[in-house]
Amino acid sequence: MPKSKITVEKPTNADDLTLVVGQVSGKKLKGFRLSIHGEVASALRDACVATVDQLNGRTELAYKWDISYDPNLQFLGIADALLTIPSVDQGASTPHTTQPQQVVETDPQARLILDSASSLPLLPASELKKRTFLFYAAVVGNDPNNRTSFVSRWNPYSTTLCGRILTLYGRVSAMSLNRF
Amino acid sequence: MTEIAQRARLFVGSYAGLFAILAIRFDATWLRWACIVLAVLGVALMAWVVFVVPGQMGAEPITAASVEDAGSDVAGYLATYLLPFLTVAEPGIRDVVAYALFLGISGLIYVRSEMTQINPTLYVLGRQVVKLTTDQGWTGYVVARGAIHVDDVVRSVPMNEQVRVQVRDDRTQHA
Repeated sequence: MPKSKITVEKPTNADDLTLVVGQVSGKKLKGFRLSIHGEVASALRDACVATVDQLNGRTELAYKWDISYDPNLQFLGIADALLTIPSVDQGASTPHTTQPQQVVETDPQARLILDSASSLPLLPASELKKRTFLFYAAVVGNDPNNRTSFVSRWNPYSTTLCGRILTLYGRVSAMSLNRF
Repeated sequence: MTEIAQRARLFVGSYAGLFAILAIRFDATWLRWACIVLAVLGVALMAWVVFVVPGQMGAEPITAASVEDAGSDVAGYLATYLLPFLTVAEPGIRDVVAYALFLGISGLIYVRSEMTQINPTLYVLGRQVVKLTTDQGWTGYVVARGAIHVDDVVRSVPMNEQVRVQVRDDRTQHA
């Protein structure tokens, strides 16, 4: 099997972590950061390390819209630069002489939220149960301009419940959006 | 805790010195003890901010895009420290009510203005409060361990939406 092209450095205890949530509001996506205890940050950091270990134990496949893969042995990877470009028209009839590079359309607002994680508005803990979130993310790293985001689609309130943090992260595939 | 309540805590901490001076000035035992309690409470609250908060919360890095000085607000703040020298040693009830009213108005102005940035107690504890805007648009106050310059990366923990506390960082660098 070919070696993975994506390398994500394992977070260390020296790496700062910001817990971020994204909420759909009308047609916009709003981001908030959450104040977390140091022990919660440490547990989330450990979960990120476990996720990186899981990724490193699998083989990367370049993303294609029609690809089939084994999620136990493989993961889908796509270069950072291709995430915000609008998708190619799959119904185009013009034949291509060369295979076009697969791109994935993503919401640029999500990227902005993750890029500005530590400057987002602070969401009170009491609001977590009242709102529904599109995603949450652990943004890790000490350089504000070069942090790694571990993204998942869960309400972060559940991660703060005792005994569920590692289980949740162990089940989901983290996607690093920065600097591949 | 709400933003106002957090600022009120900073207000009590900021005026710990004033309460200590008032305790020295007043002859009435109950007033003296009331001021001593407020002074001790103020110092304890600031000690909590300086020594406890940074160790409890998870830190995160921010980059300073602009740092504002509080120079123009200092004169107004210092004027409130004249109160102990205008009081009488044994005030009547009406005097006490007037002093309390003055402190209440001062507190209201403090929590709703830029005076949050001025805190002599934090200075005594080796900290200062700076108003900072990050390169990503957050604006608020940082209880800093020293001077912060533009482009500095600051590790901080949040106290609330508007106030952060800088934590020790041997890796502080210019971006």
